[in-house]
Amino acid sequence: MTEVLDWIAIVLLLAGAALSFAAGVGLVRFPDLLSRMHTAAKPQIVGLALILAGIGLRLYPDPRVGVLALILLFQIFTVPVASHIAGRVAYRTGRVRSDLIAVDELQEQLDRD
Amino acid sequence: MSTSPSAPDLPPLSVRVGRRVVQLPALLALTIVWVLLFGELSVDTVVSGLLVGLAVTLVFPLPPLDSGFRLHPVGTAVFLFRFVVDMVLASARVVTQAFAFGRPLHSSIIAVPLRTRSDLLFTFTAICVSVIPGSVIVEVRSGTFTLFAHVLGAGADDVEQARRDLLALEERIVRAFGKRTEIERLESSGSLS
Repeated sequence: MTEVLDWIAIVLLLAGAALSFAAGVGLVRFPDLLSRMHTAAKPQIVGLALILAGIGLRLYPDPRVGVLALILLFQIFTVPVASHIAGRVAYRTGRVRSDLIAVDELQEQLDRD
Repeated sequence: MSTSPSAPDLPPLSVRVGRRVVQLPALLALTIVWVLLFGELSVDTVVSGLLVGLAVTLVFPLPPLDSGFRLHPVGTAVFLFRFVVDMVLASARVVTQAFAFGRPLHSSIIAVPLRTRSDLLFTFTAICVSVIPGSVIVEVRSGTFTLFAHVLGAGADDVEQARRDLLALEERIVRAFGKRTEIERLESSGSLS
């Protein structure tokens, strides 16, 4: 039984690592700052969740698994703050490649203000 | 809405300690975090957690959240299920975009005027939009309850679909956590489902 759980944990950890790797690839390959925010500010929440689930399976009888839940919870709560501030500053200081933006309704709104 | 004449502004589930108001839900949440950090449920951790939580809430008092929060079990289940599904699908899409070759990735910034008028639900929707891969909040207008989201890989044709997706997310959140007036406002302004 523990062997099966170990294998599930390994698969979860590898899947999480693969998603985090993909986030890193996106960071390098996406063309502008706002696109990079998508992978930079949230290093693949699903990847993190999978890794934490994998660790949790290995730790399970240990009550310290609660800390893993806290990590995910605070990651989810703090990510939006960081990405919103960075995105807002990037936009307001003109570090946006407008040639890569198909529709910009914020610019329309700012023009109207 | 219980208002006693002595303390008209005392929010529910709160106790007065001197001139400060301690909100019991916040105290409870802090205690739970404390116990989880220690990783063991015992009298020591619970009591010390309560004391630390009390100190924190007394030293750093926060204004009470508006009480516009109701838990609807079915709505919550639907929201959580769709949230997980959305996360997985959106992750897969961002991964594909990260590895895709060809033309440079075009994105759009869309304005999403939400229908809720509750600060709590507005914030919650903004958090969920940010957490789901493929959308980042660039600007928030709390006066008009409008979110401006940068949607990765959305061309001019995908803008309406992206806006519908975000409004559907808002609707699920309101149906999961909103007060009756919020749900009615949602339905009167055109429900999507």
